Amino acid sequence: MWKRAREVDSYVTWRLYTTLKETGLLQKLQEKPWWEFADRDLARWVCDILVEKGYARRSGDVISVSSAPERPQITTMDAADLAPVVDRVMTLLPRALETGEKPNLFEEKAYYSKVAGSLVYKAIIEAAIEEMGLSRLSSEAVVADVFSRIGTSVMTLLEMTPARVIAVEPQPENIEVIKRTVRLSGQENRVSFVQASPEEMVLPEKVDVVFMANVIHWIMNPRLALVRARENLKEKGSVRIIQQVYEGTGLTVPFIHYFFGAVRPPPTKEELIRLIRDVNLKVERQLGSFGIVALRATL
Amino acid sequence: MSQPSLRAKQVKLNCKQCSEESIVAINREGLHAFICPYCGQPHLLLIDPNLGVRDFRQVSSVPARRPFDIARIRVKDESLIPVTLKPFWEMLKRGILPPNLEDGLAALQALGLLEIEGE
Repeated sequence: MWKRAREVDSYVTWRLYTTLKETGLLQKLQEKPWWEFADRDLARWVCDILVEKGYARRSGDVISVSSAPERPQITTMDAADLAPVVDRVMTLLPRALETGEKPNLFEEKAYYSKVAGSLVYKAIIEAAIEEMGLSRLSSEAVVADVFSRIGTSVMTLLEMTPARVIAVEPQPENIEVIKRTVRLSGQENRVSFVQASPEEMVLPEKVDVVFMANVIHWIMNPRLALVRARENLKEKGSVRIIQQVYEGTGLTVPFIHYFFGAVRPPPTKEELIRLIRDVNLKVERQLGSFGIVALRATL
Repeated sequence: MSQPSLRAKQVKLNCKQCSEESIVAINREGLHAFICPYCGQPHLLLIDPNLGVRDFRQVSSVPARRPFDIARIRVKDESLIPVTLKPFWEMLKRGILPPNLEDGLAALQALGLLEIEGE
């Protein structure tokens, strides 16, 4: 999994650098502070990637570019598959930086499906399910998969646990895709659906686990979503969160998400933990490396 | 799936619903949609590399509108197929039509990945 993630990370960084250079934006980022760009968040994020990956130094609120990344070698299928998505994203970057127009490629369903259904994403979910012990749940257990998108997390939960799954997803067209995919696998009796945003979800029953894979940076009010998660838990239930955070691959892969509807950069690990504690959930276990954090929180 | 072929073959298809016979021209292997021109029943057929009909079955809907001929169904860019649907598409490429075929095709279509040639 890490090899694939590193290759995607290197490709995003290289493509970002070349796009900035070709459009003259690399020079601008060295001349004016990030907060003078129309999309400040995006400009700061771009600077942070270049600094974190070692291609620039911070000099007050501007950066000073020190070297250029070499074109990375792509050896894994998934990194190769994601490359066209990254290329598409980078065509929108200059306009977004300079005009502040929030890009949204969500309507380009085929690209969105790759972002939400990549092997890297599935591998992250598999690792989280394994590490967080979800595969030991009983067949009586119920897991709410919050913000299921096109169903990668639902299908992985079905494969790796015996539990029933409630898929919570705001977009009806995504629910249709998940329904079809679940039926294709013949497991429709294990899955039910709630069409709602994470902030508005009301589940038909209390659940053993609320599973949130990379949700925090995609939604307007993550605090409210965590309150809803808490409200829908059984007394001994838990919230399991797998989240890319603002470091390592968590800087580059969610950068792609921003162009598909994610509303902000991912939180830092500290921000994430504070958010969880703010809604009176107790962080019991946390694991993390290379920009991905897995957490278990209980009442 | 292979490159376009200059070969062509005419095959008789008997509608699984009304049994009426239609003659259609096939010149490519792969998955095709067929809508019976007599009763409108949609079908899917799988053509092998020798242009033989490997599978022909009625389905409730097909992602095509042409009633008088067959329409080839393909994926625009296989690299964009999500991991959850990849095994399904690999089965189709190997000439296997799984039981819940329509659901797989509907999911691919909803994601904007299917392309119907000739429409």
